[in-house]
Amino acid sequence: MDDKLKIGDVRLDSRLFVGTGKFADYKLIPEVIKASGTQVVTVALRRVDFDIPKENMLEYLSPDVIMMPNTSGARNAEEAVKIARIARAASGSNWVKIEVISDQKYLLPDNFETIKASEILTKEGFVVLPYMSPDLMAAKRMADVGVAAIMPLGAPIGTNRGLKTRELVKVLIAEIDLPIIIDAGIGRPSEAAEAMEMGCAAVLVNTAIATADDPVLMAKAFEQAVEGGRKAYLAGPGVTADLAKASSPLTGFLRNE
Amino acid sequence: MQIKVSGRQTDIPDGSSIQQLRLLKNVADNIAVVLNGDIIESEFWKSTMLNPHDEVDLIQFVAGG
Repeated sequence: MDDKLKIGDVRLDSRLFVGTGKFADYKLIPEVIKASGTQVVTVALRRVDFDIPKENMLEYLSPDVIMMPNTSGARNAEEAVKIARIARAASGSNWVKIEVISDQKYLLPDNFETIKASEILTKEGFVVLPYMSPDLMAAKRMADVGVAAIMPLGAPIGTNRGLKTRELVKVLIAEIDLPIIIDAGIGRPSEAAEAMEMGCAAVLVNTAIATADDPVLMAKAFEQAVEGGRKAYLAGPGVTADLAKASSPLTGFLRNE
Repeated sequence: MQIKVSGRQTDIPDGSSIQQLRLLKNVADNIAVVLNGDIIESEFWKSTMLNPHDEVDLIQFVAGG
C-alpha cells in the first residue's frame, strides 16, 4: 500500500518525527533515530559557548534524516525569521519548525506572530511547519500563506499529558487540507496511536522518548504505536453503540427459545 | 585587534578573516556565522576580513525539540 506522508516535495514512510532535546547523552540519539524509524528530527540553534563547549548536534545525525531546525528562543516573528535564515545557512536544510513563544509558564505558541513568520519564510522558499495552538482560523491563515503542515500541540511542551486538545485538533483534521501533526504533549505510545487513529498525519515526540527509562525501547514503542494508529485510521474503525451487540451467535441449544 | 565573539571581547591578529577566526577558535565548519547582524554564507568566510570592534556570532546546532 502506498501510504506516504507528503511534506513539501518530500514523501516519507515514517509518520513519527523525533525531537532531540533532553537526552541524557547525545550518543543515545542515533540509536533512538534508528529504533524509531524516523526520517525527520528537530534540532535547535545556539551560540557557540566557549566556556561550556557543547558538541555539535550535526555530528550525531545521519545524512539520511531530514533536519528540521526549530526557532526556539524566538519571541516574535522577526526573531523567528532571523533564526530560520541562520539555520538554513548552517545546515543547508530549508525545513523549519516555527516556534514563537513569549509565555514562559505554559510555553504556549503565539499564533499571530507564527502566521507572520510563516508568510515571510514560505516566500523565501522554506518548507514551513508551524507549531501552534489548535485554532481553526489561525490554521486557515497558515494554510493560506503556504505552510507545508500544521503542528498543533496536544498539551504544553514537555508535560507528557497527552491529547488534551483532542476536540480542537479534530476540527483542524476535518477542515484543513494539509497534514496535521501533533507536536508537544504526547506522553505515551497509546496517545500517539489515538492521534493517528483520529486522522493526524504524523506526531512529533521528544520528551516522552528522551525521559523514558529506556529511550531506545520507547522509540520502538512509538514507532509501532504510530504505525498501528495509522493502519487503524486507514482501516476505518467500526461504529460505537450504547447497548451490547453480541459477537457470537446466541442461537440456544441449552434451552428452547 | 579586539572584536566581540559570541558576546565576549576577544583579541585576534589584525587582518584575520572569518575563516581564520573559526580555525583559531577550533570550531567545526558546520555552523552559521553572523557578522554585525548579517549572515555570512560559508563561501565568503575566507574573503570576509574582520575589523576592530566587529561583533561575530558563531552559531551551531544543539539538541532541541
